[in-house]
Amino acid sequence: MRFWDRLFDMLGFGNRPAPFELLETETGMPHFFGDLRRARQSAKKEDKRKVPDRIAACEKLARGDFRSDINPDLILRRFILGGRVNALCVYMTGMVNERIVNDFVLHDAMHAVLPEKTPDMLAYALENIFAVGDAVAEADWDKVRESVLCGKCAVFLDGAAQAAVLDVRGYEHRGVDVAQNEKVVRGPQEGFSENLRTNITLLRRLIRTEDFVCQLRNAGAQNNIKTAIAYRESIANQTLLAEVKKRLAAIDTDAMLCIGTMEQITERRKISLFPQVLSTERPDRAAAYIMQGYIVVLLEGSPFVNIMPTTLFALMSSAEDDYMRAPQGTLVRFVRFLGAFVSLILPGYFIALALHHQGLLSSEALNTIIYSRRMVYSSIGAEMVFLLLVFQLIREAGLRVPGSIGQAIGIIGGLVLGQAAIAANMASAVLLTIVALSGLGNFCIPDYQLQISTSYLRLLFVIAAWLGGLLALTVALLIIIGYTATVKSYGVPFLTPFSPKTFAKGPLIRRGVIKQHHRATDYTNTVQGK
Amino acid sequence: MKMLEGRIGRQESVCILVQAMASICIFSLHTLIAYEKGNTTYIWMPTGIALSVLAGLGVRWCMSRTGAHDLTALYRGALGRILGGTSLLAVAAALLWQCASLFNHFLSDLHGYVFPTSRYGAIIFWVMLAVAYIAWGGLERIARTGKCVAPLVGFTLLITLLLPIEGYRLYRLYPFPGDTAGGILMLCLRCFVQMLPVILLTLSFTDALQGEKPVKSTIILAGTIAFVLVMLVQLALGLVFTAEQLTNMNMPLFRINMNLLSNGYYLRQDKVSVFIWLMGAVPGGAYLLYGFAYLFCKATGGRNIRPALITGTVLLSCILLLRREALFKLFEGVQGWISHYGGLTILPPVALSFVLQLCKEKRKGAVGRHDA
Repeated sequence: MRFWDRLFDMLGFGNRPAPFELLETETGMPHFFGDLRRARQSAKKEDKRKVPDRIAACEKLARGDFRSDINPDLILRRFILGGRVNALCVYMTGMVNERIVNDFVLHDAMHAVLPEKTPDMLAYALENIFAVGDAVAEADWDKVRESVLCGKCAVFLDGAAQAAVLDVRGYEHRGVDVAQNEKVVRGPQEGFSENLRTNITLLRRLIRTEDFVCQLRNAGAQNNIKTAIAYRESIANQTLLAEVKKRLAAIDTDAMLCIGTMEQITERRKISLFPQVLSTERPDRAAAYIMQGYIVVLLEGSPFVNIMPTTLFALMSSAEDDYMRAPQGTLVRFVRFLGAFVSLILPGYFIALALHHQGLLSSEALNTIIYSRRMVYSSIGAEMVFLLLVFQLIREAGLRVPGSIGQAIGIIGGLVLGQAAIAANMASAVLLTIVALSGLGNFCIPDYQLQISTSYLRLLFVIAAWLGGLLALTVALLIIIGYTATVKSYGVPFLTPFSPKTFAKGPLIRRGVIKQHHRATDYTNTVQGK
Repeated sequence: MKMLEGRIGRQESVCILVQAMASICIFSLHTLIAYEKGNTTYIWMPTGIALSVLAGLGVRWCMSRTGAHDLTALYRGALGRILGGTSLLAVAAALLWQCASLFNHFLSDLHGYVFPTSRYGAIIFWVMLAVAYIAWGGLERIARTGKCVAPLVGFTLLITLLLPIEGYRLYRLYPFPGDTAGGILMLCLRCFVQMLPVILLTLSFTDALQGEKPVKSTIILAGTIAFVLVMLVQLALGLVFTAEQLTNMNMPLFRINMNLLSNGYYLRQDKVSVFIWLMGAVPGGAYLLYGFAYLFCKATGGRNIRPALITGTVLLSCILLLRREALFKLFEGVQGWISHYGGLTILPPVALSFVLQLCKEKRKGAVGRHDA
């Protein structure tokens, strides 16, 4: 150690570097502000290796790439094809259906009778031995490796510079279950699952048209997850489709585990208050949108699909609207909008009247408020904010705990805590009623993300009304309307078909069942005449 | 170029134009001048709107004859770069003044009726916040916000006019017509000059309104709606209040129900209607502010509208503050001058561009014939 280093060390001016620090990166110390700049994703190295024609070399490659020394999932099974050709079967245990591998790959291969002279043994095996539906010959090592990681099985033969890639996938997954978050009284009950294939099947079962396309592609994340773009080729707007594909192709991220991540990466306004795609877990709803020319994106491992483009009115509609008779559907939709409006405005409006415009209240109403608040020690604005935050707390707690306990928390929070708060003079009964009404209205909003946005916007309105009465509330409302007017989902204004007006189904009044199922020229600009 | 024009539909453009015109007519009315010699507002105000629409259609016709794409092209083509730019600046200044006048009246009344104990600056702050935010988003945001609030504003106006229907008395319109023909004509011209810049502004947004045909239909539709709306409101006011009562009344629409509903729930809730009208006036004001910035940029060759918007917002706030706080007399003087002679800065360029373009066309036709 140099003299100066020793001196600084002795005087305590420098910290001796620890042998290992979690914050250190390969590129050095993090930035002063926590490395706000996003690290560029390292370009994936292109693997141009080919499948070797000797199985020993194949085994070596596989052992190296899949780290068989520390990875017990990898199965490398050597066998002799038809008693003559050395072969190697590679797959990931747990990802494949072992019964298919044993009965239709290994068993058939071992007991096969090979002809005397075969120029291409692999082609012969694919045609005559492996009794598997999806079986192809692959020469690129990279593709073989990806297939094995996806749950397929690769069979290498001595002397063949290709591998037989057999689809024997059979990993465990949740089956088709009841849609948990979008329940309906009348209508199908099943929801999407985490399996991409199953989800596509659920859609195909409902859309039996030859123009229904489901393009599979890599999602662009380093965990090699698959995504699917589903649409009707003959009617979908090609510009919209190109835009969706462009945004999906631009994804470059470490991990893609949920469709929510994909939604955030692909949307233009990253910090928008409102969702820019419609997320659903109901196959019937997704199918209805596909039939109208919308584009649906599915992701492996996600029981939700994204529908694009979307609008405020689509987010405010429920799958059940279409299953009800037109007058009932219209009425329900109207009540839903009323609920959303009450949820958003009522607390702020009440605060504005009680604090700044007492003259607008009747003397009876004013007396009731004063009487109910006579022992409450906080100001009415603070009390409202406190109650709204408590409501959010109860809601979050109810969501994150298991089903029956969640319901209990809702009841305990709503009744017991409310009563206790009134008894302890922390809140007044009038305000509690307002908050409960507002909360109830909030639950009328069908889309979960929109629900959350509304619940926090209402807090903003309360603060505005607290500060500036009806004037500030009006200004806040105008600003939110102005903001909403500029949000776009894949080029479609968020307030369509109200502003701009299109010929789409009325946002509030539901059309009759016959007209409903006629595709109108609307904001998706579908291909005409189909 | 960042002019934030975007694309808007016909419904949006009509809504925003009606809101701007109706707000100016209803809320920035100088009651002392308007009702001094009797109530004739229901005659001269709609007539002024109709005249401005006709003038707008005339300019539109001139533009189509000369191949000018928008107002800027017409002015530049007819008057040259400098004079055309100056004429555009005059229209821009008129728009800013209209905006200031609208909010000056509205905020004064809001302060007097609803927030008498609050500071005037605070009211300006809140309203300007909304106006600036909406104008900042460009024409798309302004027009769509205008359309979103239009049903609510329309419904409230309808209720406001229907509630005192039992109190409507025809004799309150006496004396008819209330003023001399010359007096009515002068007031009519005054309204015409107030409306013309707004119509001219719409003629500048050919691209945003998706073509020349929609611009024409927008002006006709909006003009008709504003004509009916303003006439209904002024007629209702005339049927409820006498001209003498109206002369010394600020924002008569706010007080239309007061005579009838001496007590009860409606009387208490009528202040809410002021805020709903404010919701209609703010997009209208934002349109005027944006129009000022847009024409300013077109006149000076600016490629980004944001600096002009900031300048416009600051200027507007200063005018509103000065009006209330310090330079009251000066403001009154300037307002009087603009009211009387402001039109002179707009009308001659419009007329001149008409004539010059037609002369150019004639000359071109003569050269063509000569060549042939």
